[in-house]
Amino acid sequence: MKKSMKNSMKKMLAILLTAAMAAAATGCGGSAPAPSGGNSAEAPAGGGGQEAAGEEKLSSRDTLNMSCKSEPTSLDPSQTKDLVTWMFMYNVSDPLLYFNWETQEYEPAIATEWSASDDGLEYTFTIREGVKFHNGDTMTVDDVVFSLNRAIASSFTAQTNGCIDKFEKIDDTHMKAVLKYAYAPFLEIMTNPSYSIVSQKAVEECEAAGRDFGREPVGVGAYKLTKWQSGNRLEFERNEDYYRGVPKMKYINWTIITDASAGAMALESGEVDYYYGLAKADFDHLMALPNLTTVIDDRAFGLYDITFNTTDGPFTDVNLRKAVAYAINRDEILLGGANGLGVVNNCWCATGATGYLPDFEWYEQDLDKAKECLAAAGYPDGIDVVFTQDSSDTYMAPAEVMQAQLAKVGINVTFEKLQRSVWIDTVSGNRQFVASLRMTNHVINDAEYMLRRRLSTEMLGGGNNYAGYQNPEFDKLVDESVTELDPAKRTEIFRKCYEMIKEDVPAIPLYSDTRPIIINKNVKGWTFHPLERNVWANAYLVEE
Amino acid sequence: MLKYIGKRLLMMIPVIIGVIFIIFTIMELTPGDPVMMILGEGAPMEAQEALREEMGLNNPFLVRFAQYVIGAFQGDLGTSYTSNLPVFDEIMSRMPYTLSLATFSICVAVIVGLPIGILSAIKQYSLTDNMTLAISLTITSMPAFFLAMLLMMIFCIKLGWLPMMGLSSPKHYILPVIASASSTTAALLRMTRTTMLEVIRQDYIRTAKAKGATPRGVTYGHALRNALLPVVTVIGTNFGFALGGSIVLEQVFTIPGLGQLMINAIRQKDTPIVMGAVMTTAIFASLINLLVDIIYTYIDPRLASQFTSVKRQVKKA
Repeated sequence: MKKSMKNSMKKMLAILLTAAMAAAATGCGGSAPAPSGGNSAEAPAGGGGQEAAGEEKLSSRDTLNMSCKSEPTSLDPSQTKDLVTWMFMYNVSDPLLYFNWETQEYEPAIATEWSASDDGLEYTFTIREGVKFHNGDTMTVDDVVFSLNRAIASSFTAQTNGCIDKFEKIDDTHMKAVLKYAYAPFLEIMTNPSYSIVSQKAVEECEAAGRDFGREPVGVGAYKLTKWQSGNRLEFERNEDYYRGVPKMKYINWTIITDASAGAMALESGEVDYYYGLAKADFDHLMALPNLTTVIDDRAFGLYDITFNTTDGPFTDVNLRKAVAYAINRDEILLGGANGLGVVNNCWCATGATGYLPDFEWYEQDLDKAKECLAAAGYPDGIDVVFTQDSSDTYMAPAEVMQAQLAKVGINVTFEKLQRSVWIDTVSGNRQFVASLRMTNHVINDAEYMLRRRLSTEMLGGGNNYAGYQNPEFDKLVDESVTELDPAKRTEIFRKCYEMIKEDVPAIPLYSDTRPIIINKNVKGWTFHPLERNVWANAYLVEE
Repeated sequence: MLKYIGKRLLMMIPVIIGVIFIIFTIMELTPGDPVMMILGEGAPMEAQEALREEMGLNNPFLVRFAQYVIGAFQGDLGTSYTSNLPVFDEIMSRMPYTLSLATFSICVAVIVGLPIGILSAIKQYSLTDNMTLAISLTITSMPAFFLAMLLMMIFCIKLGWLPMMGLSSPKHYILPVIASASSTTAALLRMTRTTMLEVIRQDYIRTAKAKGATPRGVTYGHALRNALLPVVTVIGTNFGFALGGSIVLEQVFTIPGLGQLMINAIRQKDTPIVMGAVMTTAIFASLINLLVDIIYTYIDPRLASQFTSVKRQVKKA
């Protein structure tokens, strides 16, 4: 009895040892060189026979290795709303129009021609013929109308679809958009990736089978999704039938690198050609590297600001808000917050959006006036305030500079640092804050977007106008700015709006930061866009 | 024995329900609104309300908890708020990375740590002993992410020998395995050394030597077996930790494992994923504990008697 026990134990030990050895063998296998060496970044020149474009010698590598800090949520256009997802969406399908950032003009994409009715309530589009979907089907006007109506029915487009009533087919090559009210920046919405065209048949097949179209999109874009490994990698292959010409790179692969320093190292080592999501601490080092090139554009779509709660707490007093406006030096905040990469912003509109007025003036730093305002507000000896902040460095870096500046006039700032989701809930959702430094991106490239979203009375709930600013005159002007189609008159309306903001200071515009695009210098031909709607369709690689 | 294993497996159920309840409550009590994360902070109230209703977030807490538990026992862990994929699929797509990395690291730790630990014990205060102690102390005090970054700087950027992202080929495993095995190896080494030293001084070892057993036989046959219990505990604990996925290392090496999934889900307030990931970790931790207990009985047969009921022991006798 005892013996058998001992024997079985020996057997067991033997088995354990064998298992350990087997595992060890596999572990050691790790040090052997990879047979296929899946590292195409170091593909040898060889190849030959590559045609040279001018002086440039094309690289034999046929894959662009891109990387990004986070994963797209879905590649179903109607289920997209964030910048990162749109970066990917721009590979997969195209909207009606394309906005050329260099010429600042709309260009034909799916629509070849467009015209607006005199009252601005109807837009007619001529739809391009012979466009092929990724599955080989030919796109029809029905697909276009279906995609657009699907987009406006989705809650994801809630920030952009307000003005649109419906889309209708006219004939086999024409369709029209019917608006609820004239909306000057309407064409801008038609360049938004949420309004990209998808195959009606494919969507319906997916829905019938209970599958997620966002994971197997069928669009008309330059690249089609071939593989999506959740949390890790998205692979795209070029669409040989792309209506703007066959894309030059055969494959584009996107790797998700959540750690910004790992992303910077991957970029430095050449393992990836491009990384979106760099920490600003890495900018200087990477920009100096010989294998990378940097593209910077002063025009941006984000606006950093200090928002006050104007309905509750100490900042209900306009004098105190003005005291802050006089006390801060925004050049220094830009330096601390964005390494000086950006433009100090004087009006309530990001530098890249229509309606930005470079000549508009804001309060200059004046500590005496700041102290006067502070005294007028009833705090001659200073005041303690809490800024409720998103804890990420993006917002804390500028906020700490501001904190030091405010301390000089006796406004002692402490921070309540929250994680992003909590911040959204606390500040923009429930408005339980007195002040906060944050950034807003223009989803529509127009000043009206920011004015209405963030400061008009109708946007009080739901996380938009968390300043609680209510000014009927201001609201009226914002309404006028959308129905007025003459750009010069719109500019004047915007100027009046900015002046009201300057008078009432519900929020202080700080700066629009410009994130440099740092990319492998051998990648050529791609098209820049400050909101990362970069077009890679014509990108190609050259040899050193 | 089988009866004991069955009993332990059944006991996992209340443990896991308890874990689910705690995590569910924490996710409920911490502020943050998944709907706002999905739709963006500026989405209109009506759209937010509609989505909240659609996601069933308006139901009372206990109703949602009960629904979740019932669903979970039927194998339905819900769908992710952000990716819309079934949670089960998401976790299954991440497990291979975490599992392989954890297994390789623990193997490396055992293969390297155990023999060196034994060696330093037998040759106490020798040069080898002092050196290994110094090195292991350095490694234990070095945060894993720092070591990982250091390795990446040297082997990927300066020397360009090894790839730095993902786990797509055997070569890709080298750095992550080194980084994650290092602290376990050091811990294991020190534990082996300490317990071996204790055992070596025991009377029965002297007796064995006196009997004329070879030094090798004494070390491996008599001393090691008795020193192994605490060592197995260390291995088990570390393996359990590793199976939860290393959040830091997975981020640094761009490995789409369980840790990354979990940290992203927490940031996004993606409750179903957080629940699923924590539950997976809890299940693995319980299983490893069970495995460690079973291994104990083979190392120390005296412990096996605990698993056999008194009645049967009497009968057998």
